[in-house]
Amino acid sequence: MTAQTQTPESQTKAGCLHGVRVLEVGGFEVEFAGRILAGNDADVVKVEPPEGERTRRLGPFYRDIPDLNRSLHFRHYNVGKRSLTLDLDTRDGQDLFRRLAHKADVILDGRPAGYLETRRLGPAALRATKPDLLFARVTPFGPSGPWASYPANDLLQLALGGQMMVCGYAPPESPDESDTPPLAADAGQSSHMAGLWTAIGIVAALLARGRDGVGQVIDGSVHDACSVKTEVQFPRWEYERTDFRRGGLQMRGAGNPLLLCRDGLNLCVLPSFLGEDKWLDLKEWLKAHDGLGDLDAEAYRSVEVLSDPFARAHLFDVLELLAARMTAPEMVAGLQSAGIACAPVFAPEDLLQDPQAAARGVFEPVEHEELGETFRYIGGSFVNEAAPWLLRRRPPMLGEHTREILLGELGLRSDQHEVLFQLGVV
Amino acid sequence: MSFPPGDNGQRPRTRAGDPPLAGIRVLDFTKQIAGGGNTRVLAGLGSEVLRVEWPHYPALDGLRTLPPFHEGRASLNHGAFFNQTSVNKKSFILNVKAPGARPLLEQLIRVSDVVADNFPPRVMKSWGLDYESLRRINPRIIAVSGSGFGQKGPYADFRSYGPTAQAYSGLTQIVGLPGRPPAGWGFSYMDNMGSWFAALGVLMALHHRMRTGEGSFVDHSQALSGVLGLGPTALDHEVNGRTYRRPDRPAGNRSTYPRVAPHYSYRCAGEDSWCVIACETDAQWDALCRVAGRGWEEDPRWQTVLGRLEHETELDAAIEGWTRTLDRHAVIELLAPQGVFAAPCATIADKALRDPQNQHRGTYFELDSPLVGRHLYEGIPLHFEATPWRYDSPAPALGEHNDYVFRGLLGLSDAALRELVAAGVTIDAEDARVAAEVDG
Repeated sequence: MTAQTQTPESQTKAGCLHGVRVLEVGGFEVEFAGRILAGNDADVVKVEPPEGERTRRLGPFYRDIPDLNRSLHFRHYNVGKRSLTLDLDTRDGQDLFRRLAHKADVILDGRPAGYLETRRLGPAALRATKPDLLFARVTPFGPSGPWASYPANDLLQLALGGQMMVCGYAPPESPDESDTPPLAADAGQSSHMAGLWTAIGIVAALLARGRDGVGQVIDGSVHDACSVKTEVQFPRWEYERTDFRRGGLQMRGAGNPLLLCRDGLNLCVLPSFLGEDKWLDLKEWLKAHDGLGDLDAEAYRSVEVLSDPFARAHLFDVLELLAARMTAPEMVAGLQSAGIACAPVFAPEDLLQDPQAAARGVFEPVEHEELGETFRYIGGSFVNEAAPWLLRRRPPMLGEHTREILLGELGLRSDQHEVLFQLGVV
Repeated sequence: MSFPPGDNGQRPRTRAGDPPLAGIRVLDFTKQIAGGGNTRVLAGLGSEVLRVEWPHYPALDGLRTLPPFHEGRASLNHGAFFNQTSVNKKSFILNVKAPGARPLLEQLIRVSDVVADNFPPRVMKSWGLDYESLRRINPRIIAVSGSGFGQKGPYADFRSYGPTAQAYSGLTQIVGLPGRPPAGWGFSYMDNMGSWFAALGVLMALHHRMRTGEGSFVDHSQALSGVLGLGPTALDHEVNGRTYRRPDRPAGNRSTYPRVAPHYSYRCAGEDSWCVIACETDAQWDALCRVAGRGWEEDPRWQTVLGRLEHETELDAAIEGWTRTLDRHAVIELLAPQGVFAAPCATIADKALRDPQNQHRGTYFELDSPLVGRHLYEGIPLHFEATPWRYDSPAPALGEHNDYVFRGLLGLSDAALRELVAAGVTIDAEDARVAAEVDG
């Protein structure tokens, strides 16, 4: 909810996962999942090593000064969570983790396969005394199989998932031409695919636990999640052995050239699934703006002409001439009023000023009282007024909630906390 | 045609170990992959998904009309996308706008848990099937509406598909090479991600209902869900005022955070054949030098990460000189066991046929269909220890489950069913088969 639309009621309403406690151990592979759970009101406690989770070292940084508590990467993926430091290589750390797990519903584990087991914190050990515990585990490739031990990063996952090979500019006619490699999207998409599926798995398992009373392991991998995610390209290959390569007009629906508008914004226009009425509306609108070109010719009478790639390409030529005279908002208003799907190609920051994003409450102000500033974070996906997404707290400083959890929730004494601190356990 | 005897609207019984959503019934009005992808997830997780269908536009799901078709057979039953998207679902034919349909719909809503659609806003309302109407019939119902821009706000009525949603949400801008217009996506990333977020919304709402007993309405927007794909880029603007429209963004396949070299795509032997290689640590770099055997470890420019970053272009050229001699599938097996980030840029065929990890994990599954034969399908990328997902029945022919719904769930007699056919509320199986052939 944005400041404008926020009501006191939505601030106090519980989210869908109210009352669910998650212990998160891990970085890239699981932080987006934990973020989704926290955004739906689960109490997500991030268990970090004393030196901080690796993702605290990823930029960009607040005012460009690198620091474990200034990573915007970390802030984005961990807003709404609490942070507790524990050295899981010590027996005391392991014991405290075990006690925390007893109070948790879900362990969200992004460490390499076997990491928790070798510390006697794996599913077998923890479920011996808490059988309904859910264990969601995400590794790059899964716990077994020929690639299980291979290292991975985002680039590699998008290569293996097939996203790169279908994304990019049209491949050159000959290998000597300019470089048009397959392209990996920016901003950590493989972690988003894995995180979304992991969140789906966890909520599904919570429902199953509510029904059957059972705990279980939900085993996922980033590679699995990326491998089922090239939309129409998988069925196209399966049915006609079309091995789609990046770019071009050859693909129905997604291969549309962008139009450069007068204001410098690119425009994406999708004249697909049109009926004759919309086609007429479009030509009327073009005519009214002196941009019809030769589309009044008999050949362009019926919308069916657009199934011809050359005619479709010509439509884009005509639209491009008009776009050069109009701003993107003018083009969008006009084309949408004629019923044509289109949208400006926004950069991430444009969304912060966008009225639809504001009306949907996409960005949620989060107060950083330690800085005396408030920043808008990306809030939720879908809107559910009965149980809204919410960001209850700013991203945690390293170990910020260690004392509150150890003393307040595990009942340690202050002097015991001091012992553990001096030994570097917390 | 078999259906649970004496079901007559009762909920399916569940046993421990059934898929997570066994016992949940979904009344499915969704269309295209953007909508059908949502109920595909719900179906795989065990819910009973009943597709409400009609063989003529505008109520017809256009996904049934899209090529490619099985053996080139253009029909409503033989399309690749429809079949892949509709596994485990049931199909019955109902003309929602026919006056006689209303009591049947109300009866179905009473015995369902979820009503799903992805129409533009107001279509469900015009049918008296908006959430307010639904909850009067069944207060525990969960309604999920997916549309391009959601139910509210100034763009609520905008038409949108995957590519436009991606453009709006910033996802198109973040794919490309520096200094060039965005390349965007070669598929509708948000048809998948958006429909899965909508499915997540249903699961969340089911959890809310389990906790409180309350139904709710999930208003999903494909375009706005895309914003979650931006990672920290928007926050970088909010906090540091930095624009994404700068010369080094998008970075192509070069590294961003952390900044390291090498980190790029490289040509391999053969036509349009590529791999990626990246090193973050000294150990990875040493291993790459060792495996390549080209003396890179001696080059004074490339001793340190900072050195490799300063001379990244030359470094990439040297690496490509080596990878051009290699099959792309060899790259991962040469380097990954040594700890180096390395992989082929997989084609669809590669990931389906050549990827031993996908084979091991069972990422794709095979299913026989009387309509389209034996095919490979994408599974749910999760392994549930106690309540596994299941895709065990192929996509339905149009109206295949008319009997199941009308006689089984609704308990209608032959005579009553004949009346419905006569009144244009549904059509019988043979006519459905003919309609499927003709309209394709």
